[in-house]
Amino acid sequence: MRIRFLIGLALVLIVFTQCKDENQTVLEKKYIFQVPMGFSEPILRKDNPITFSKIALGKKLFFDPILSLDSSISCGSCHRPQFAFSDPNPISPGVKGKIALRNAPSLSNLAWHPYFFAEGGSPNLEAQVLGPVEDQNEMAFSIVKAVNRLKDNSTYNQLFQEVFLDSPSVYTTTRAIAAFERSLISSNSKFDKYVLEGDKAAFTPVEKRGYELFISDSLKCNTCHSGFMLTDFSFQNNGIYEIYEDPGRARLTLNDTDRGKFKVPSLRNIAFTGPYMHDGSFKNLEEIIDHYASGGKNHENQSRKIQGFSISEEDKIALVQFLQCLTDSVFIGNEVY
Amino acid sequence: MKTLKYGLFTALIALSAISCEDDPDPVVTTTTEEKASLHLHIDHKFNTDNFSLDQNFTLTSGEVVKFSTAQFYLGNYKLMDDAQQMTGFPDSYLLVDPTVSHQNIGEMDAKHYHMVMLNMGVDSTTNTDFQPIDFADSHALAAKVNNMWWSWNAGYIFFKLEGEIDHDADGTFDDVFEYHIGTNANRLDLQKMLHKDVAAGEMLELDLTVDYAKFFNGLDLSIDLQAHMGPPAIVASLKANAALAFTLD
Repeated sequence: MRIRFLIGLALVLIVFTQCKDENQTVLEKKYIFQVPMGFSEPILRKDNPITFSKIALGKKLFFDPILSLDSSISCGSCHRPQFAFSDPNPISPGVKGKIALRNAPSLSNLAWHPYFFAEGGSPNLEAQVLGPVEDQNEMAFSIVKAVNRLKDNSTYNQLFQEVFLDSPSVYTTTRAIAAFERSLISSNSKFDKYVLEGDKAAFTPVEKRGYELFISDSLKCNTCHSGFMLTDFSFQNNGIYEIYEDPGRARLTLNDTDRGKFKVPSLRNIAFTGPYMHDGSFKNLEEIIDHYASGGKNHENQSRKIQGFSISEEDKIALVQFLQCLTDSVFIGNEVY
Repeated sequence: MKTLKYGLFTALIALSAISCEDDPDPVVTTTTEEKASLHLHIDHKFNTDNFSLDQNFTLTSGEVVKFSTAQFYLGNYKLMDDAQQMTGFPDSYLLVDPTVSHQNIGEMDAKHYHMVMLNMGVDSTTNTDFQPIDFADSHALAAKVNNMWWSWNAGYIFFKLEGEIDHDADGTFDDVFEYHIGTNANRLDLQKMLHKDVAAGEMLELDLTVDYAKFFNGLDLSIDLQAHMGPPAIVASLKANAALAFTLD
């Protein structure tokens, strides 16, 4: 009888050890990527299915300075949850007093971004991880050396084993961070309720006036800041300078006609993501409106969509109030993220 | 008891065989005796001198250069027979630095081969669709400490040369140079006519000479010190110079 029990136990153990990955993934509660109303299908990767444990590991990595040269800054140092994962500094400080190249963008709804960085050079969230880790003005480290640190860390080794059934590697590290970043979904603003969910009581009359101005033929804000993401992801020179020190998209294309062009940012949570523009040179929403009303500095590559307009103080207040309707108070500073 | 043990042993074996349906089928291998093989020998030179890092070399201009990094990708090998049938060698990429002097590329059928082709750089499909983060750490195209990619941009750096220049050869280095060349337009196609019968068990050997002095042809080293994707003029010069620097025999 005893030997039958032992044999039965051995059989069970063999089945479990031989198909370790299949059985372990079955044990985890399935993560279902919720597509908010009015959103299109997200860009998800088959080689990086999202799980709760992977998001948790990615979050730990995101806020851990272990990935920077001197272990002084993390992704979360410049992408702070209470500012919709942006930075109130015009340009974020990197390691050893270095200054990054550009204003840190807000992070939300990244599963709908077709490319990353202001010149659009990084094709997906996994590859994007290399950017800040290896930028000499940001975390100034090597992704390989960063992963070696994770391998030397027993906690991370255990977590990676639980999530990937594998030790830390560049492959698994980038996928964990990307999974966390894809989980940053912001869809609970008044804009979502009014425009995407059809709740016509969501806006006050002043906010509604602001929205009408936003999409009006005279202001045409929505020609670039369009759709549920409030960006068309095009590259535009918005004429804030006569001479651009930052080449913008020309850094990638080497084409002078792209000089000073940057990816149009999403306006979601814009009230929390200042200062604004690629270099953080505009302090508040009123300065932005004044700039577009002025018609820009007429750089040779300036978008023809920027023609200038006149706006009353009352309408400017309404437009600002509409922009504040893009705030998702559930998202800002949510400890889940 | 003996029967019971035998039965259980059989059951265990059977269970282990069927319990993981995704286990790969056993690979049918051909013995080396039935195949020929392709091998590359790499000779690193600076003009007629043997090349290595951290060693001073004098250009014809009299300027002295010392390399701290010199590395490039080789891969995408193809053998073509007289009927223009291609034999490819998947996953044959190699990151070469001056310490790398040979590569066993793989095995192929024993037959007559007309031509061999390879890339200095990474083929356009891989360069466009894959990133270093997509490969296991041990793969040639995986992320490396001395990286071969632009972290803000997709695609691989095909060749990377870094070092110092002593313009007046007074023993003090005056400038640093950094040449990082990539993008699909700058891949170098290398080829060699073979017209060779390759017998079973035979090793087809290729000789690649890399003359690092040639990379400086036509550059004004007082100003042409950096190339990272651009500027276009320096990149064009370096691409043309790479065609001179790599000789396949």
